[in-house]
Amino acid sequence: MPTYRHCRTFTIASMLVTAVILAAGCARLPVSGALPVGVAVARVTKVEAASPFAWDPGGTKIALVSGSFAIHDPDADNSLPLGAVPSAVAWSPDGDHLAAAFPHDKDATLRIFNTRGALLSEADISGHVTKLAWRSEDELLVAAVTIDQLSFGADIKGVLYRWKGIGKPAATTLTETTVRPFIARWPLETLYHTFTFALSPLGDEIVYTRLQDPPAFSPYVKICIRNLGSGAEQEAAIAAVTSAGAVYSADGERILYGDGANASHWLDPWMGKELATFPTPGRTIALSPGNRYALIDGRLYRDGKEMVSFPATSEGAFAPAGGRLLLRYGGNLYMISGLSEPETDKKVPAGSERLLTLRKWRSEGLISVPDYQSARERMPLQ
Amino acid sequence: MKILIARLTLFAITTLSLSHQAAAEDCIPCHREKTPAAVRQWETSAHARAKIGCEKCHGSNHDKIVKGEAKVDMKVCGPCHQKALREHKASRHGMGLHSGWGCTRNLTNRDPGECRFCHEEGSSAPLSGVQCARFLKQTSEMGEIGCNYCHNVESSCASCHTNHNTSLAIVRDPNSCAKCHMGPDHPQWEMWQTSLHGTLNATAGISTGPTCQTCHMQQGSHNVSVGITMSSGGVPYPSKQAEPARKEMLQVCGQCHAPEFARKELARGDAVRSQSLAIVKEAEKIIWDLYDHGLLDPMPDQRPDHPLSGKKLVTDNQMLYEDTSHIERLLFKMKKYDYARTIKGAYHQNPAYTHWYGNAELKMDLVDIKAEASRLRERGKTPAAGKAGNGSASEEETLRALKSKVERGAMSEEEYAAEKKKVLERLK
Repeated sequence: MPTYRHCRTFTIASMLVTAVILAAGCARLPVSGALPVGVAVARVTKVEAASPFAWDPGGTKIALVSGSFAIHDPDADNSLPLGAVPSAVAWSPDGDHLAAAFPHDKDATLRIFNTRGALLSEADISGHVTKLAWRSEDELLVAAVTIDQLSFGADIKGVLYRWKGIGKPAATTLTETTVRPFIARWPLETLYHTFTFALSPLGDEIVYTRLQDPPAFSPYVKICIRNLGSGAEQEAAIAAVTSAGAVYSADGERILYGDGANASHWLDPWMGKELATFPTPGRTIALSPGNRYALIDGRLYRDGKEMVSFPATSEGAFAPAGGRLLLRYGGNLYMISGLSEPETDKKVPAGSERLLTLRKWRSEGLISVPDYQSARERMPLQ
Repeated sequence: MKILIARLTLFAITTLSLSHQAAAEDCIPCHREKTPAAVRQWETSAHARAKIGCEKCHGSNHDKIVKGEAKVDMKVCGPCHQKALREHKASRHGMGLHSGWGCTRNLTNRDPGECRFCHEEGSSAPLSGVQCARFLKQTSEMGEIGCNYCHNVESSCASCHTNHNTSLAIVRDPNSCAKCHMGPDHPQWEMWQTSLHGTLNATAGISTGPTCQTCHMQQGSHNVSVGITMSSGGVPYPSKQAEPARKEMLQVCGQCHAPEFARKELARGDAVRSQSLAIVKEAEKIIWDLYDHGLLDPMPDQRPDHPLSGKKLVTDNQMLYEDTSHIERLLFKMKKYDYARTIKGAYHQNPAYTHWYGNAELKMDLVDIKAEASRLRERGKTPAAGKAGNGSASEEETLRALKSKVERGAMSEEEYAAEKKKVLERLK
């Protein structure tokens, strides 16, 4: 169980390094180790610190915040401004729509734009949005955190909204915790960070973080898997509150999560089996589409081996089409290109409807994990 | 002065003359006025003749008595009536409260799963306030008169003997039993009355026509369960337990009848019982199948919680007749009324109760249950018509039904694995 002290030490150290580099006014991305042949780093543009950014599925446009929220074309080096600063952004799977969450007071407005910047739809929700993900072309998933300060602490609620782009988003509370006063006084960003999720590549499950604050122990998060079809949940792991949570493997069968203190772990959550570890706590995690590359706390791994490292506080996003990585560090956005990935790494079984059914049944215990595995193995790959 | 002496003498004579009855009781003068019936009954009782006064049973704390906190229950009677208490405790009457709203662990042939009604799994500590489901659904007033007035037979001797009267004539009369053993669920009193035993009793007297007590309380025994071969819910005892009980009953019957005649009579009752139980089980199976397919209307999760089992379907002794589906209410009537009347009618040699009030109703219940099941299944198809081509939805329903069966022990793990394999192979 990672301790709060570990997390705090790591965070302070990272902040000191960051402060030194920022003080130097450096616009060049610090790199430790030699970049492999064919891999290049280039600065894309200036961005707001801690602001969201996202590749479009084709890997040609980037939603980012540079002064204002905009769709940026790195090849043409031009931007289409969209207005206020969002807390989260996400492109639809076909790249035709861009969703963004704009905070106001304790709440947020969800907006959907087309690629020309026209506003197509909007809806108000309660809470601060920490994550957006499109489940399909028609359904947006939203993680929002509400914090009610109380005389004896605070009530922190994590709500998952499902929005079809019209009408009122449907809300499901996934986590609600009353925390002690000293936790209630943490910075808001830290409290918001306790609830986030990742969507499985098949769009049927999420893996999310659930804050726990047991008396006499350090607070921590549970990493839980929820099948969106059945609503059935299972706890997969626990981690420090500084964990980035988890992301899914390309086939949706494994998760990579950071314990927030010591290491990051590849886990088969259904068998409860740890498959591999990385010696870094996993406070920021990004995976390439075929899983060959992983960026964890600024360290870039290829096939499980560290290639090169960037500052630990840098955050990254791989292009959905593969080959490139966006990395935000120190108020700048960088692109790392030349990250080739074999197509075979992205294969999943054909007949996704059948696979989704099997996964739903597994989540509800209607079939056992060996039943599922055996049925899945009989399905051809696409 | 002479008048004063005369008055004092008269008072002394009166006091002395009463002392042999009142045994120095202070209660009588006042209670002769306040509760005259109680005093009159006591004065003519065996207790009065034995100089057992008010304080012996009621205690001397008048405040407690007035508040109803000094109940005269079997703990008070037991020390003097030890044999009766022993026999009573060994009988089904001695478990009256248990079967109503207490622990059932001492009842024979009970489903161990029933422990969940009162205990957390693995704990022997009772959950607070957990009692009989049907009792818990009542208002306190209804529970008092409708439940406790009969089920308090466990702890209250007065339930049969009345409060102050010790006349054996009262408790040897079948009317004493009728208070509880009548009505739609177990009309033994009516069955006896209209049987040949009852007719002979009414016409030729007790020497020819036996009463309830003749057969069930032989020689004044307080063990009313001698010779019984099934649970109060009509579930036959295992042979190890049933065989000695049958011998006991044959001995009772043999006091008037030839042994072979008695054996055949009781064996015929056994046959009627097993045939009737099969009909009930068939109906119960239909209801569980509907439940497995989510077709009960309403399903347990769509109605007020069962007081003991929450949102689970209950068809055992704790099943309810309210806040349930129509088809379950039919099963309730079938089990609680018609099955009970059939088998108890057969053992009490009452043809009309066995057939028309019992078995015929039982069979008609099954017709009703099957018809209602068809209606529910037909209706269940309607909303699913649109997904007729959706194989996974129906396969999921099959899987849920299988899982439900294996969870309640209606299917073995091996059968479950085989059926599940078929479903997975069918999934396209």
